[in-house]
Amino acid sequence: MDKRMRFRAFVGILAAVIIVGVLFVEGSAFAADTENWAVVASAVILVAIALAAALVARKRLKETKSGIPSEDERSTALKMRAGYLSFFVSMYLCMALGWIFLVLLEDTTTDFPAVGELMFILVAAMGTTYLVIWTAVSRGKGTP
Amino acid sequence: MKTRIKELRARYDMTQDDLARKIGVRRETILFIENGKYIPSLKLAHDIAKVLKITVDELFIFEDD
Repeated sequence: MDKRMRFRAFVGILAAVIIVGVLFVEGSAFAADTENWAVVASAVILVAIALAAALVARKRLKETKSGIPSEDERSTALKMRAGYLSFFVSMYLCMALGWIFLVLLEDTTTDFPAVGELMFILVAAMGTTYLVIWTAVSRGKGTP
Repeated sequence: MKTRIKELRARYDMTQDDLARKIGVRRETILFIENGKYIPSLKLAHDIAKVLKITVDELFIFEDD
């Protein structure tokens, strides 16, 4: 199996896992007859991830066909640095949001989110921040 | 740190893309190395030197030399 076939197989398996995951989460929610917005929002995020994965796979296949190496030394270094920066920024943002919820809203009359919802908000915020920062930093500008 | 990549490419009538394809990196990587904005690994430096028929030591010009 050549490199391209392995990559296609990996993307196929990833897509299948994501689709099964979405069906499982949604199916469980409907079977339990719950109206939890976090479940629906999670499914939306999973679908968005699947869509993003498909777009990335399409771009990489296009590049591979045109002869551009996918594993370039500088690109790898930039992506690793982007990942490092994104992780720390998103982690601190997640901690700041948690602090706002737990400390600032604790003694107010504002509706406090349930633990599950709070976790979802924090993880969603962390994931979104990570994705945005990673995309911006890894666009190839500057020195890693 | 400066490099002689551009000079040697011209000698062998090679474009950045030609060199990049021979080594297996992106053209942008060659561009950034030439402009001194990216310091390559020893492996990559060796590969470039090999294609340009020169030693690694002769390929780079350090400021304090």
